[in-house]
Amino acid sequence: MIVYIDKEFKCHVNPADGLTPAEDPFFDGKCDAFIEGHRLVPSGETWVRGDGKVFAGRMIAPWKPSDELDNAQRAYEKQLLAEYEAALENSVPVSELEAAYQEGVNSAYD
Amino acid sequence: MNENVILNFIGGGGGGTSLNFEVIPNPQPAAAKENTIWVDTNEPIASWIFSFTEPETPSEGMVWITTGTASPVAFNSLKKNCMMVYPMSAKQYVGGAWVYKTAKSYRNGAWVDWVTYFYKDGNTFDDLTGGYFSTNINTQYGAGTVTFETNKISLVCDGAAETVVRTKSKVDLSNTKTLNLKLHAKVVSAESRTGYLEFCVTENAITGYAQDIGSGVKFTHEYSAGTDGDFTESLDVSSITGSKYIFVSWRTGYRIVDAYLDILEIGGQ
Repeated sequence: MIVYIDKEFKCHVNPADGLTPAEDPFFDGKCDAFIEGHRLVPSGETWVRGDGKVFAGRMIAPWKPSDELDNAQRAYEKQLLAEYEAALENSVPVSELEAAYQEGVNSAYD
Repeated sequence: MNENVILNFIGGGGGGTSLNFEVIPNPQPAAAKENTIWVDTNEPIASWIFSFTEPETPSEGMVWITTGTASPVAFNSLKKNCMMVYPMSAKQYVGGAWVYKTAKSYRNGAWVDWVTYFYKDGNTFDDLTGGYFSTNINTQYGAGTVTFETNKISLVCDGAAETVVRTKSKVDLSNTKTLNLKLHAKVVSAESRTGYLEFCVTENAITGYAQDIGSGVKFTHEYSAGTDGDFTESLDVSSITGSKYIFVSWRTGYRIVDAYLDILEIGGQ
């Protein structure tokens, strides 16, 4: 998953001027709110926290409360699951597909 | 964390005649009375509270000293009788929000850092960590080993292999701002191969580097051939709420490398 980081190493899901792309599997399958609540410090770079503590990359850490981000991710996964279930319910049975195909084949010889 | 030890202990700035300690802001004096708590803040300390849980009615300038069940700066807070307090971290209510502050205690003639250890000098602090899970993943090109020695956890990759150490239980990091891993790394390779460290706090009980950590914090670093020294790697866990596993992985991807990692300390501040 490619994310875009700003000067404070905060992640964004969309590219924009001043943002640097970075890729990490940590963000695979994660929702926008989860991603944009994280900071990614690339390898070879350092981030200085407000209290002066220096952190070296490569580090991925939340800058928003992690429970808030976890809740957003769970809601996203729940929504995805509901969409999959709805798609399954609305899907055409294989027997109907086979019948339609056969009908099409037969019509070619009518 | 054992919630039976919740202690709500409220006071004004400084200390009191029956109390065996003081809470002071900047400037930090070179020396102070035993058990003096210095908080690295330029804001006046209007009041203070010792509590496991967040104060319900904070006020500007209040210092909240979070408490737990173990602390290197535990002390008797009373001059008479005994009420033990186990400080873990300090926050101050500034501008309507809690802000982490560095704090130290004056003990036996020196300022002592507030560190909650999860591993140190062979002690695995099982009451906090549940002990440590370890595993090694071997390949046809190499083998890994994990050994719990008297003063360190030794992870060795002889050729292409992976070794893993993780707390058996989730560790409460709600009141921890920084997690530090002190280690010694040594990488021997004739072909400039590297040793690869992952240091994480994870939601999932992972057993290998490539697995989904769920949510948490992930630090990765490659130690190049010729490395032989002590290092401290740090995770920013200031926005972690609740409990996570602490995970360390040491691996090599190539045959022609011998890589050694000694875990010396894991501590939170």
